[in-house]
Amino acid sequence: MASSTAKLDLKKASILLLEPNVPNMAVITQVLLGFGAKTFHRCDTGEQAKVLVQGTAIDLMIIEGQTAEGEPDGFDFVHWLRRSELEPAAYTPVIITCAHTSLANVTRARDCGAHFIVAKPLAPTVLFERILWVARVNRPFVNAGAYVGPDRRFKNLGPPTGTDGRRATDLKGDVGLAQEPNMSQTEIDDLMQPAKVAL
Amino acid sequence: MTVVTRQIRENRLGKLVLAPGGITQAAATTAAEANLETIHDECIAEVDRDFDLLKRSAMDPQVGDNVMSQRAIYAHANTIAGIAGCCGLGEMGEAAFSLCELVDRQILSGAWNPLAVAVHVDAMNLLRTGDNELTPEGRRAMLAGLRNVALHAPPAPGARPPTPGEN
Repeated sequence: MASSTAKLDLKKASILLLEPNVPNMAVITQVLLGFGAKTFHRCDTGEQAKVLVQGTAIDLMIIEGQTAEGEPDGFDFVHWLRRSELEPAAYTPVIITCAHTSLANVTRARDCGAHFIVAKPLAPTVLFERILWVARVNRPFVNAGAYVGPDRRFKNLGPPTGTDGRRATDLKGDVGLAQEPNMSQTEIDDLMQPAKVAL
Repeated sequence: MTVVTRQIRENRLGKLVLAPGGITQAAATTAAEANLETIHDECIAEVDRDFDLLKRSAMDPQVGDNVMSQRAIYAHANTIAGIAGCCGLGEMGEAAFSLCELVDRQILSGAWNPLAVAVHVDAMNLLRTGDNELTPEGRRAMLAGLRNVALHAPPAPGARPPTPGEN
């Protein structure tokens, strides 16, 4: 979690919003205006967004996953984008929004190549933290044929239980119970990515 | 054999938004919440509009056999779930989320239970009108009951069984 003194400067960022519902579009726009964003490209459909990304430089995309019934939706748009080979659009950070965060929708968001899924109703704090995270952590892009997008592995959990793993570096044997609480994500980030902080 | 590539790409967003200056999280969220206040009435109107349309679809006598009506109920509940929490109707949004889960399961399994839908619509009505004597505990119990109803709907073929306490 980011501290409340963490800063973002979205003034120069070009943001694509894909959201078919007018009040929902107003919500996301107002939240981003509060964050200082100035430049929005609003789209109702995935088709509009496809045309837009081919001629406009975008720094961040906030995409509603369930845009329409019976036609390509926001998840499909991101899936297409990652395989589009458009430079640099195909690698743009994408945050998917979704009200009904069912297992199926969360799985689709993960598998289409989005960086994050944020549940609606949008909480400004959560969206701020997710944008900050996407900006700070440059996850490698993976192209594995069946999956194209940011590396989905957040945690190294070791080989599956009951197996010896497939890599020479996989540890063997029982590890035993943890002796102390797990580190928080902030503590891990501090270890892995030392960052200058304002005191 | 699939060749897997892994590459670090330039993060333009990172360069832009982490440049010196900017707005703190506390100031940004305060400003965002103030901005949301300006569209409060618009959001309430959308919730009411979708709830009216949802009720119409739910009252369709053929809804059990009409997937279009079932999908309409899902779509309106989905909109309410997404927006109600932005205009002080968070509990109604929770009930709408539960209705989404219920209808999603029922569409996928093909087993429509009109009573389970009706109890959600009635609860949303109660939560929206607010002219009732429900205590906060009563509201929480009602929402827990709705979640229970949704989780007991027949799961879609191939879906994993629900975990206790899962939302």
